[in-house]
Amino acid sequence: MDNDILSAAEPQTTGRFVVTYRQDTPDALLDSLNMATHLAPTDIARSSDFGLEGMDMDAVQASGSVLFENIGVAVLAMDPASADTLTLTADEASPILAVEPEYYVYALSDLENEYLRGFRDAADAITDGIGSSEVSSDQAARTIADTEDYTWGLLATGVDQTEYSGDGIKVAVLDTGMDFNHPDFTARTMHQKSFISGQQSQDGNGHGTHCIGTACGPLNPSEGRRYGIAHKAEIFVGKVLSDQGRGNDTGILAGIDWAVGNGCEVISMSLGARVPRTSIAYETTGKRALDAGTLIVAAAGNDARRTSRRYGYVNRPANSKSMMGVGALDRYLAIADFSNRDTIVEAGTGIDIAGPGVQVYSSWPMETKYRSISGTSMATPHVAGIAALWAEATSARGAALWQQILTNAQSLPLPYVDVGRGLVQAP
Amino acid sequence: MSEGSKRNVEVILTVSQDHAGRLDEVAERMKAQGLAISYKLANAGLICGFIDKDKVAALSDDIAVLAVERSGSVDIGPPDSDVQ
Repeated sequence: MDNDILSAAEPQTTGRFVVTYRQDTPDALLDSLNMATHLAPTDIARSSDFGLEGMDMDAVQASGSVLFENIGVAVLAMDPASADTLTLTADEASPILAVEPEYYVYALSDLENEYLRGFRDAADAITDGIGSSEVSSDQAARTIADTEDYTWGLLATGVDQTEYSGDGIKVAVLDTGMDFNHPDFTARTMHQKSFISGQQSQDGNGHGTHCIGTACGPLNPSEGRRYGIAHKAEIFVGKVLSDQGRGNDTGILAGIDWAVGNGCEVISMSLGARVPRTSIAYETTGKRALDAGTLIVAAAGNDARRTSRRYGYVNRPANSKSMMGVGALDRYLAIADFSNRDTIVEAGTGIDIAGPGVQVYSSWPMETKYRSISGTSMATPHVAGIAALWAEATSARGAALWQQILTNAQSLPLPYVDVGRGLVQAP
Repeated sequence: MSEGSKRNVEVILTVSQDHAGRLDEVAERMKAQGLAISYKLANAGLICGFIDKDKVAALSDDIAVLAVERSGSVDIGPPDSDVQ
């Protein structure tokens, strides 16, 4: 009995793979399978052979392969290596949309149904509250606003009170580059490298200049309030996103490698792809970076629309266990409407912490000079800048630095799946 | 860095921890398999490059290669968007 429960709790794969293909191209799929795997068209039963009555499952062996033509799905008996090959060779022109392992499915006992129903009701009650955009009088009383001296983000995270500056710490911001002509940064030590072919690190977008401003902007800006955190940190500007705001995994991994090689204690990455799975390359790189003393902080993504009950999912690479995923808060310290939620695909892959990410004022390329924008992209450099302060204050590096940041976060009355351990706090 | 022929795909090879210290040797073997290398990332232990899609599967036969994955695109909000 116990064994049954255990096996039901841990999903098990059947050894077969579920391939979703473009529905109008069953023959192209069979051709692809013939090339990439050992499966010949004659090895695969087709649902159309069984007419409207549907497939006779007895006629298909448990270990056999089936093409469900009405839904554009094939269940195939093939080894994992063939499945990998199929995944890798699937491009835009390919008939294949997805290759996933087939899992066993279990029925729940009545007891579990009762429990789950109660749980679901409770969860609905909670999410109803989260989805609400109403601001109560209690919330309004806790509103944090920009002052003449500081942005609300620096006030909320205690940066206005800290004695630390990121002195002696190297921070890499992998983004669209930096406006090297910005008057607030002319006195700073900056290193730069572009991983975008044909474009220099000079920021032709604005996103990178804004993120660097939050993470590493000056103690005394040339005008207006303070918006930057690690004002004495050495800045590494890695351009991994084009002026159009696009990049690819190769460029980002090359940027991480460059930052790790330069001994950066912190890497800030306000970027992501709408992919709900992590990759071995990002997982491994994040772990190797931590081992080398580099903490990678990454944005959860902005796909949620909580007022419409859409919660999104954590983007890649923030969904890597070895990278710190960041959600965004507004100035009521409520979760931002757009901030993605952890779907708990696997423990440790989701949101680890939250930072200020709505109406964030920071540097922008000249002549605009300053701009207020919102996003998990803005929350991420708050965490990265504060990570540099903790690195200076405690000499902790890598996984030890990660631990310092999480244990010192301010708890919030919000779900862990939205804000992780809470609001990042300066030492 | 060149994409070369239309049959080429951009791949990221994760080199196993045991072989990460001998990245150059692994890279030479991959080159012999047809990989046009764009980056050898010694700190991350990765090799990036382009290769004919029919030759992708053979790369993972090497004992030093932990994984072969396709490089995907990544972005931020459009420049004038309020949410980035």
